[in-house]
Parts: sequence; structure tokens; C-alpha cells
Amino acid sequence: MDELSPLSPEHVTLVDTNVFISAGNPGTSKHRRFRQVVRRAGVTLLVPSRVEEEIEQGGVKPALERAREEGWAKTVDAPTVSHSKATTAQDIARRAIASKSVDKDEHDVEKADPVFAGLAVEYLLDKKMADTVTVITADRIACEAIEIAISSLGYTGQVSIITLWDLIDEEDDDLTLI
Amino acid sequence: MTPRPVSETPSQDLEAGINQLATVGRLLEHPELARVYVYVCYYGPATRPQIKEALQIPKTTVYDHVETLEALGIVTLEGDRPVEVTAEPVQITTDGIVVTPTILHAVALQEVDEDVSYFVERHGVGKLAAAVRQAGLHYAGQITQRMVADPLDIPTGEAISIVLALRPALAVGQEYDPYFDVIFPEIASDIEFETDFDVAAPLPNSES
Repeated sequence: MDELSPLSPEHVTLVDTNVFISAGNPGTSKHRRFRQVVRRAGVTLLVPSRVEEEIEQGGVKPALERAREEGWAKTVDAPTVSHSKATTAQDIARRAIASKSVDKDEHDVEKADPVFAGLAVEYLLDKKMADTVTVITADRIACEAIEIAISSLGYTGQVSIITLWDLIDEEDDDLTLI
Repeated sequence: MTPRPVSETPSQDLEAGINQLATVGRLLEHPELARVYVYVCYYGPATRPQIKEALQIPKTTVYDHVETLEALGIVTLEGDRPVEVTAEPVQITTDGIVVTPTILHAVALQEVDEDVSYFVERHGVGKLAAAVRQAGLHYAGQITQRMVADPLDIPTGEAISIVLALRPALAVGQEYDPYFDVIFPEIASDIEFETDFDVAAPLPNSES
């Protein structure tokens, strides 16, 4: 199964806080499946510190703390998005998100969403940190926008964007209907 | 079975209108009562033992809630051994304030989802109703989860959390709430989810 995993320890793997919020805290079956797939892949997820406070707001601090203790996630001071290709990626993603809604413009787009496009490119170009970057998100709209930015800059082979549902399947006990 | 649209309130009939406002107010304030009501509204007719089994709440509580709902005039009891409970879908639309079973479902989720109960504890039930509308925009593909934060004036982490937690109310409402498009004019049919899940809750065997 491992060769089919979209995760690899060779990649820089950026994870958005919404993935932790969606997977929930230790003790749930969904969290167990998420933890297992990351640990089996031997990956350390990087949580940019600029979104770290969302972890506590979203009520999943125990999940991040446990992941840190076990070494499969860490908070990092991600580089500033400064390379021109990286800022371009971020701008494209921002415009792609704004274009989804008729009554929103680029100023209405929350900065932390397009920043993952910028960070992915920055990691790729800056400091030779990685040849390949993976971004994991639980937000379909952000995912599509980041994909547009990456493909329009020609980085499709080096940056992949996946959602939590590419890593784990949903099971019946993940949610109570009523 | 699609529930029969019954009441649009407040109507010209002031008395009936005010009564219905009071009824909806009671449901908004009582998540467990709302949960029994929404379950019957969506999946009924159901017997009281079926409700008890499906919602995992004590028999006496179910009987009390059904009695309250019957007194409020929004469920009817029919038949004899077993007695079946049927609910009429409520709708309040006045001056832009909309309450339908989907909103009441979100209220009911406080009973089963601690993210929803935490949200209501912090921000109140009015903000929860506003969050339902914003979450709809996200699932309709128009805004990211974080963009829900600004119109609701809440932290982004809480926005992400409530958007994810409200998924059952939107998914089931899209299928079963006859007034779903009143909450989401124009986008009701655009709402979709990353993963498919079965919104049909099986009725437990009516023997208890």
C-alpha cells in the first residue's frame, strides 16, 4: 500500500490547520486513521506557525500536541513568501478564490488560504529545501485555487495538493446525522 | 416521503402567527426538543420507541417531548398500537429572518456535537443560524472555510470548525427540508460535499 500513498518523507509536507480540525482529537476513529496514514508514510507534517492559533480556536490542541510528541507533526516558522514566483502563485490563488463568488473581491479573501500556494513555491525555490512539496488541506475551495496557481506556473510535477479525503476514507461513525 | 408544506407564518392571521413564533422560539431554545421534532419531521412517521432507539434518549424523555410537541401543534399522533408521530415542517420568514427544519437541525446538533454546543455557548443561537447560511456558501463552492469568519466576526479556527460541524444539517436538509431553498436562494442545488454519505436514517424496528 505504501507505494500508493500520496505522502513521502522525501517531500516537504505542508498541512493546513483545517486538516487537524477535520480529523478531530485523539480518541475518535477518524483521528486514528489520519494518524496511522501519516505515521506509516514516515512523514512529518509542517504546520506554519502563522495558522497555529487556529488549532486552539478549532478545539484540536490535544491532537496537535500528541502529533508533536510522537514526531509526526511540527510547527514551523515558514519562510516569508518573497520570491516573485511565490508571490505570483499566492496572487493567482487569491484571485481564483475571489472569482468563485460574484460579490467577493480579492480583499475579501482570507490571506491564510492563498498563502499555502505561495509557501509551496517558496519552499521549492528557496534554500533548496525540497524538490517536491505536498500541501494537505480539508478545504475543497482552497485546494482548487492552489491547484490553479501551481499549474499555471508549471509546477504541477513538483507541488501536489491533496485533501484529507485523499488520505483517509470517510466511515459511518465519523458523523452523527442527527 | 416528502413532508407536506403546511404553514407559512406569520400569516394574516396574527394569532396563529404569534403562536408559531412562540413555538419556533421554544425549539430554538431547547436542542433536545428540536432534535426529536427534526427527526420526526425528516424521517417520520415514527413511533415513540423508534424515536427512542434512533436518538438514544430515555423513553420518558421521548414521551415528554412528543407530548410537548403535540401541545405546540407541530406533531400529530395517529393510530393505535403503535401510535405514529408525524411532524409538520415549520417555516418562519419575516423581515429576512428565516427558520426552517435545517436551522432547527443545526440547533439539535448541540446534543450530539461538542463543536456545535461550544459554538452556541460562546456566540448564541442567532450566530449559529447565520453560520448555517455561511456554511452553505462554502459547500456551494463560493467561499473558503476561513472566509466564513469575517461576516460572522469570529476567529478563523472557530469558523473552520463550525463549517465542518454543520455538514449533517446541510446534507440532510438538502434532501428532506422542503424549505431548504428559502435559506439558500439560488445556491441550494449547488451545495455538495467532498464525500458521499447516506442521509437516510433507517427507522429502527418498532418493537421496543
